[in-house]
Amino acid sequence: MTTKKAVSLLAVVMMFIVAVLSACSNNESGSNNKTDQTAANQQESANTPANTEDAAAPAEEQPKFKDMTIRIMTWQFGEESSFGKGYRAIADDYMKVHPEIKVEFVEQPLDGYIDKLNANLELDSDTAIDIAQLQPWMIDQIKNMDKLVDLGPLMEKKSAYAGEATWYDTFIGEKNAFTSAKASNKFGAVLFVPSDTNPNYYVAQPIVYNKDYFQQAGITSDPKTWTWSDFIANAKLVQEWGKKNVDSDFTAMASDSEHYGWALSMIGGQFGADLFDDQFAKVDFGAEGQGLDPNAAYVQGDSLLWSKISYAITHGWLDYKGDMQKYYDDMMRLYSEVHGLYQAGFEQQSSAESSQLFYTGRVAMMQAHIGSKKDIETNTEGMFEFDVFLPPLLTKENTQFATGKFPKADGQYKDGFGVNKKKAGNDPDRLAAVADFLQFFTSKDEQNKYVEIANSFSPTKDVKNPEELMGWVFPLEADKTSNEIYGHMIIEWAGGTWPGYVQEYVQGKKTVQQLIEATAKDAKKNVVDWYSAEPDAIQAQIAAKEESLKAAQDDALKQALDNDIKTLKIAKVLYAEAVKAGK
Amino acid sequence: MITTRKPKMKLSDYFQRGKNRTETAMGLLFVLPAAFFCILFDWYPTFDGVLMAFYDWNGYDTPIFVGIQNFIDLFAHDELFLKSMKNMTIFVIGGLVLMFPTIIASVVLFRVRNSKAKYVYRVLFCIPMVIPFIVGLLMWQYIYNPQFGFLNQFLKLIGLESLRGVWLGDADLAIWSLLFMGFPWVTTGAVLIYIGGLQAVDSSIWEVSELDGVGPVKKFFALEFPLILGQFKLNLIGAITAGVTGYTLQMIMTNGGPAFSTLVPGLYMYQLAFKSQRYGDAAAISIVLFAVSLLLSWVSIKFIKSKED
Repeated sequence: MTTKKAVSLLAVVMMFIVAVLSACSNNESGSNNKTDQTAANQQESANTPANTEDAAAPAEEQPKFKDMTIRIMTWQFGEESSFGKGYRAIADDYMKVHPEIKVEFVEQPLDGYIDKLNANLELDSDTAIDIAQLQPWMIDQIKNMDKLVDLGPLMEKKSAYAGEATWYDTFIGEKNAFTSAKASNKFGAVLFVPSDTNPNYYVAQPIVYNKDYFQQAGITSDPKTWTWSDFIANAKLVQEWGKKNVDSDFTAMASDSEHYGWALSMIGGQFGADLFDDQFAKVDFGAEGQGLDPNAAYVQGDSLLWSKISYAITHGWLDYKGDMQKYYDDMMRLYSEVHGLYQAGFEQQSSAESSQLFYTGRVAMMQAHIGSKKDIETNTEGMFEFDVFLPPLLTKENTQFATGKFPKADGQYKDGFGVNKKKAGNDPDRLAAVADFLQFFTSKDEQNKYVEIANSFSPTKDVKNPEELMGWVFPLEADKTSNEIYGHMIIEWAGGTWPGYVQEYVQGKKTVQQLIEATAKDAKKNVVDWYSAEPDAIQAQIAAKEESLKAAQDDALKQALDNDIKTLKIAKVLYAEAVKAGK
Repeated sequence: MITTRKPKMKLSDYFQRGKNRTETAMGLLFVLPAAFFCILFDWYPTFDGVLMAFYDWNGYDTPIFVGIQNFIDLFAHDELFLKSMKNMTIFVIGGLVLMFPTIIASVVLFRVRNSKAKYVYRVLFCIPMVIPFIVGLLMWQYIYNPQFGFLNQFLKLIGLESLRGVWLGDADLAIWSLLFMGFPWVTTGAVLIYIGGLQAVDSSIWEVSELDGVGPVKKFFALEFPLILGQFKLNLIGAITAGVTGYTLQMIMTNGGPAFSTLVPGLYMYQLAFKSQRYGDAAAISIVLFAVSLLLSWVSIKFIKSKED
């Protein structure tokens, strides 16, 4: 081969490689060959409500979509979970109504989910996902990155599967149930469609127990009536019985690294917030607050809950000093009581390992969550009977900070399914189809079927939740619940480091004071990092809502907007103050 | 004496000559794709990482230049980083000490003269190499399980119940449990390198040592070990680098716990970057690790002289 030929051949090979790489980076069916300018225009238009309003036209007007595949990423297909079966059933129904659309599920285990999610949200290729199931912490990580479509404008429009009702109206709590979701990101956007939840239920992580063991250990009282003291006393009883009659390593309960915070949540969730509220009432909102009354309903209400906590953390109200010492001492004392009931080395064991201990009869109880019910039934079938009880109620006998009430749901949606802005947000046809699918997904008929298959709750109005699940949520009676600030707030707000600090405390390497000081330090840093960019974004939201208020005709809407503006003004002051104090 | 020095050829001279010019162009053309991807995927991220160490960045907002503040925070205010450095020191020292069983095993196996036996041990050493590293770690995780694991079950079986432990769940035991993993600490890859080094030595040296009646221990210290110092240095640098920058073992087995007792700077860096979105702090740790690794490697190269040096 001559040199000239070799050079020519190499040039051809290089061009081929470049062509392949280019195709891989944007293989949108090969037919949609957009120019950069077009893509830029679409990106811009996707940021505006007008774009999503077009996509919201009801199905009667747009009965057919372009042929396409909607890809949904979820973690719910592991070993064909009941949730996965439910999702697939809805998708099958949808494909019958819209044969031109194929719905595909992309299974991705929770381990590594966020990395795959972030990678997918950067892509608009055929293989990229259109919809992703999101947990609250995932939304928290990406909420300000402009990677998810703002579904708010779509929610304002009629749902294609709910007659004349808007999509918002089809959900329990309607538009108001999305207030926290909107306030949590700097765009004021609704970034997800809720699923598998009822905003009025505080879903507990109850305790599942082996009824046979309880009976043999001589426990006759009903665990559902237990107070904290009853729970600890009976747990010790069954532990002693198990050590003598089952195995010397027998413990009352199984826990694991994934549910480390459960006991802290259970305890802290019942602690009152009087110490905190007293101090909050003294906050001077100054000129920035524009004369807002700190005792008004919108300040005292729930919508500023997290803003209040961040303010308290950065201002050192929740450090280990003064009255707070007793508060944290009691909390960790009670936590140690639970910790003594767990199997050795639980901190380093997986959920599967701890479940095995329960299934094989090496413990009498384990922490559970609503999604594990089917698994427990399958694994204990023919071996022993189990039942469930809610975390026991703390009383004044246990701590002066006990409210004597269970945590109350805040009526707000926190997670669900988000839409990939890069893919669906930039393509009006695709966005229309995706929105239509999600409206179908959350329609009353489909959700009624879904809750039966998945054994789950539904956010859709008038859907009957499975009776058997009611034992897994805190009761709704007003006198039995309270929406207090969680007592463990500093510990949890320390981010990824708090389990390690708690382990240090448990293993005698830190005192309560050192634990609180370490977590408070990390929490303060996190709060400042999270909110340092917020004031400008909130100001933009205030300006947008003031514009809407001028144009509003309906009194109820005016009232809601006015309330939103006041809430945002308070939030603005709090964020700015928090950042100032943090620095 | 008259000496002549070959004149240096300038790059421009190559292009002056027709044949050479084409050959150079060809060469550059072939190197170009590799160089491009190398710059894009290796050099750019590296330099970007160095630069990021001087910024406060959460992954999406505009990075803020903070000078050396990230480094000051790490050494002056970050309790976990200092703890992780202490753990890293234990892992590095432990890793260096645990190199010696491999060297001893290599020498012993080299002394085996029976060809069939040689074949058998080579096969036996190669088989573990095909088992993925992660599988090995998961097996050890099972061995250490306090309730079902082999180790505690075995201790109970032989009547040593009191010695049973919560191997990975006890902050005082976890780091030693991780170091114990891989018992008897004979690394197959390293064994093959050492044996290769010993086989490369002229056989007359072994014959002379036999004629002189050198004992097995003296033979090890006076001949065998000095003669494989080059290979030892190679493995030493690998062990230092792995000890300083590695974190797979800790991430899979304990995730740095319990109570941060097995947290190493590499894992902390990963957690800061991908769990806490503190990319600036994470980049600062990577620079520190690079510096430590470089320093230790330089010291080992400087002070250990092999026969090639």
